[in-house]
Amino acid sequence: MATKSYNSVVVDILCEFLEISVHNILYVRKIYPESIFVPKRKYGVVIHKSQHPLLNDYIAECMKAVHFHANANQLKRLFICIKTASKQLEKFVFDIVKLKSIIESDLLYVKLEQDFRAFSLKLGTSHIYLNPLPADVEFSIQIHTTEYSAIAYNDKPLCDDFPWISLPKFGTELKEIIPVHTVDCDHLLVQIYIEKET
Amino acid sequence: MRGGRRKRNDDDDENGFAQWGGYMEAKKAKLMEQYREQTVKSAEKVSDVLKGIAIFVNGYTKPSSEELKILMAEHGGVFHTYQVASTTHIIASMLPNVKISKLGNVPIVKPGWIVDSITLGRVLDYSNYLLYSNQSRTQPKLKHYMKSADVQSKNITKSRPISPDLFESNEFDEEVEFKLSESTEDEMKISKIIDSKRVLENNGINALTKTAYEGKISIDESKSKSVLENNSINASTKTASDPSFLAEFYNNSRLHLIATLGAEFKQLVNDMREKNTGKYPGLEAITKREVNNKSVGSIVMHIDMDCFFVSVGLRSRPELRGLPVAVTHSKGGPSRSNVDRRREIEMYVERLPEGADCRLEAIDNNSSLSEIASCSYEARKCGVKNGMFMGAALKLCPNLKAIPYDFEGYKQVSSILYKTISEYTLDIEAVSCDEMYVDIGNILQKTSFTVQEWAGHIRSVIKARTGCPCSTGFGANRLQARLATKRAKPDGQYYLKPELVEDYMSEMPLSELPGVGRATLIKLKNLGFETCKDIQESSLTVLQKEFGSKSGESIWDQSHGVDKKALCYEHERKSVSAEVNYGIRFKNEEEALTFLQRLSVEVKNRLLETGMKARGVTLKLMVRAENAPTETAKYLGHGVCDSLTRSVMLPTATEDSQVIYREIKGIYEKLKQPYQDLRGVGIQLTRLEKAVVMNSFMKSFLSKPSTKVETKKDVSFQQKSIIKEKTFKEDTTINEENKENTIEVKPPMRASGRGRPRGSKNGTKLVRKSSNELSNYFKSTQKDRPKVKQSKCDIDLNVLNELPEDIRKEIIKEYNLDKGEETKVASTNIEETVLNELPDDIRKEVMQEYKLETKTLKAKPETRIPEIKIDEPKPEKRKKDTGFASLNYDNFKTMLRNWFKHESEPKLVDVNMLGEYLKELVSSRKIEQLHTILKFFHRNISNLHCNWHEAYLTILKTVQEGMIPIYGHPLHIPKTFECVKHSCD
Repeated sequence: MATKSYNSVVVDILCEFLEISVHNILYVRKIYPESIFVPKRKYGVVIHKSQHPLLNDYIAECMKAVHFHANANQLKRLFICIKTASKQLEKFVFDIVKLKSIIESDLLYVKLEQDFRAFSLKLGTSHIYLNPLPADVEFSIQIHTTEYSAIAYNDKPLCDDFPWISLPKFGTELKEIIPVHTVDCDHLLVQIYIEKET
Repeated sequence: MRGGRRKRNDDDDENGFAQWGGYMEAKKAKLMEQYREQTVKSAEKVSDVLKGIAIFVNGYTKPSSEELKILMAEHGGVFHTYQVASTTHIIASMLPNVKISKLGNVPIVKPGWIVDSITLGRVLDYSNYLLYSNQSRTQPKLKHYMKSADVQSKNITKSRPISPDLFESNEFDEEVEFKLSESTEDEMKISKIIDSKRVLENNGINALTKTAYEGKISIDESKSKSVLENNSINASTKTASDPSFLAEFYNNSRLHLIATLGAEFKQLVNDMREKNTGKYPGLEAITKREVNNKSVGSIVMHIDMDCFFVSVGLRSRPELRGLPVAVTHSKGGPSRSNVDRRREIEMYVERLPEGADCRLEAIDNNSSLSEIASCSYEARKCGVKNGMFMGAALKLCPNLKAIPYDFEGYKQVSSILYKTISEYTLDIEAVSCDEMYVDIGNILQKTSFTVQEWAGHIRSVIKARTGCPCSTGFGANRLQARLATKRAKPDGQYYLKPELVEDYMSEMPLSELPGVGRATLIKLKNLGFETCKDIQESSLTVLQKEFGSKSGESIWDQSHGVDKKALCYEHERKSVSAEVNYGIRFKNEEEALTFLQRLSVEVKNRLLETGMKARGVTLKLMVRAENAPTETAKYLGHGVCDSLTRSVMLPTATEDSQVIYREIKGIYEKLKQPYQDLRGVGIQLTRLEKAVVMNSFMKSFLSKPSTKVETKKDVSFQQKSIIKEKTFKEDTTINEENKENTIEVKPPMRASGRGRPRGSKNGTKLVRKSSNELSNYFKSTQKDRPKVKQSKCDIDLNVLNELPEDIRKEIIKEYNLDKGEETKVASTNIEETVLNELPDDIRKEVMQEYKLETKTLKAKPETRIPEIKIDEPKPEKRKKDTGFASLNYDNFKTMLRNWFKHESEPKLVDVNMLGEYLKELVSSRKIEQLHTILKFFHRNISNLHCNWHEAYLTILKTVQEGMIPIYGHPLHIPKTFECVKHSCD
């Protein structure tokens, strides 16, 4: 379509935010050496972006899927899972509660940006609730979407070299929730919290 | 004349007449001068019988125009060679229709009236001499004419309708004439009027603006109101400031009827489907024994009553059958002439999208702006359409008969219709009161009727039962059925066979498609599409490009006769609303707010009917557009408007009109629209949820151990029952914070009570009271409250006002009594006492009722502190402050801090209450807030007694219970304390 529908604008904004957040979380949780990150300015605050090509590829591929599902309004949650080989440690959850296509206010996304900024800042302090991570830590991105949307995505030729696999139902290990922030504005309702092993 | 007037602007600059107001003006003035100079002088004055009457003779009359001129001169009347604003009567013996409509509202009277009046020596009631009877419908009868002969002439000048084609000068004329007649000058000199017109122009403008703001009554009416009391329109039309306006509006609103009836029948179909036993008496009667197993497939029938409103109206008016008939509100009152219609129409036209035709074009200044709701086929033949204005319709079809609405009749016929169909099947999709889709596949199979046979059968049944004709269309889907009905009408049936669909569709103009409205139609027209055939020959992508993928596809499908939507039998209400855009003229802010309150109640009542609760509250305002005239063309209509819509989400679903009103008021105040410019107000409730049987708060209320309190023996039984009732009422109204004070009748200048000062003067009392601190916040229901002597009594005036008359009296009586005795408490706890003494089932019932209104927890923190409202509490203000939900974090913190400070150990009730509230926070996904509150809680009680730690853990447990179902995991929260005793962990 020549002109982007309103919805797709919001989807783009959301995906950008998620991508930035992934980078930032990786930086904040010190999963990769600090040296691969460069500081950038976004939402009026400093964020950190990875410069590592392989890592960036991985994130970019994930974001393609995120974008696809969000566009179909089928993106339920995005998880950034941090674990060691044997154990889940923490999980950043972006719970996309609603994604609105018709809005009446905040046409300039002022509130939205403020919310994003608030999250970016809060993220920096979230570690006070978290334990330092061990050295052999790894991370993965998981998406919670509908089965239909997942199949539809995997059918697309563009994801041939980056297939998604379905995971068993979430584990019921004893976890606790640390609320971080809720982006609650006319366009989006995204709740962000951390699930942490006890 | 009009021509002349318009010309003035164009030509008069050149011809030198400009300074006399234009050629025609000058000519008229000169002719009048001549009349006075010559005719009046030459004629011998016989009497003053015709004083105040100014006639204009149109066409051939007997006596002739010349003779009448002399008669007028002899009897004190005025004769106009041209019709001017001050002409009171037109004299004619016969006039073609064209001329009549041009003449406007001046009564056209037979010359006999003048002659007879002169013969009898007094002015006769001209209504008996009116040339055209249909003219009389726009004419108020002037009864007082006959009453007093003295004021005759005065009345005539004041109350005569003035010719409306000269907007501006009309008002000035009116002003001038009014003044003249006030001072009862002996001779009304036309020249004087013309002179003074200019002098008084300024006055006129002032008067105009002033009265226009006061609204409602158009200027001429308001001026002559004192004299003219029998104006029928004035008497029966109310504005929104009138308390009974809403009821009257909804009684008279056809749109409201249509909407509510439609919704009612959708509900009815739902109910019937639920209760259905699988028996269809009507179907059984026509079912054949040998069951035909050949499946017919699904065939959709569309039933539509033929011009529903008309045919129902005709049931009681058989004499009008076969005549052009229209259903409309028009009562044929006099048109208001001070209204700048042309301006308004221009604005409407400006706002129309390009290429749209305007139904207002045919409207001139004096035709009725009442809309035709429905008109008979005879009327349609003349070109009259539904939705047309009565004035325009009358031009097309002069002998159009107008009949009033018959709302009861519509209801009856509709329910007969629905009942009839439900005897055959319940696969009904109700569309409106006179229209529905029915899946008849099953019926056809069971009865082995052909479609035509079935159609004949059902139509004859409906006609026999309702007395109204209906048309049925059949097709493979809803769209086809609906379009088939178009051909079936009137009073017919048509089956659009699958093989004919393409052809049938190709002739169909696009305007017939459902969902293709004015705006879409214009777009389509601009693309060169007129009929479905054009679309069929075009491509889907073209449409999708223009209309977006969804609506493009739907138009494409529809023009091929494809309708993918299946019939929808179950109907769920998505929203409930009440909207009024007629008669909205507020005189002050208060009126506007009162109206909002009334509307809130109205919308709440509708919500109750659906058995749902709502979370979304939307206020719609129609505000007079900038530059739009203050007085609308349609009497009390909304005119050209801008609409504003704002909504809020409530944390919990509600069905309480006070809560709704509170929100609405908030929005209204935020919008900051001037009340005098409001033209329409609507409240919509969205996000409907099924009302839950019992809310959590009530559970805690009931589960709480009820501690006995001794009843004061001196309280008579009667008193108790009053109190019980009062408690009940109190509870159902919103304010809860002074529940414990319910019966403590207190003079308004109380210094304690609801807003008891904290940490101040009352030394000893304080300690005891403070143990209730949180209970007050939490609307405590605890019984073991210490009996604080309340010396003064606190009657909540709101509550009082809402009580039934007799109870109110009783309480007022009590109030006086208590005041006399100064320190009388007893009543304080009686509410609970009474409650406790009630049999279990009744108590539950009371609670049940109680619960209905207490969906949101009510507490009242901020206002407790020094800012006690001493003056009469305004209901909305107080209500606003109640409820946890309205607390911000800081207030909440203050409240908790006070609780920690003043109570030595937490009370179970309070703990439960807080727990439930925090759990609510979880369900509304406010976990960050919750997290902060709990951390604060933890921080503050760490050093306190272990009782508090236990309380914290109890609350935590409740909260975690709420967390698991929503988030799957409990909240991360500090759980341990470094207590001295380590008794809790």
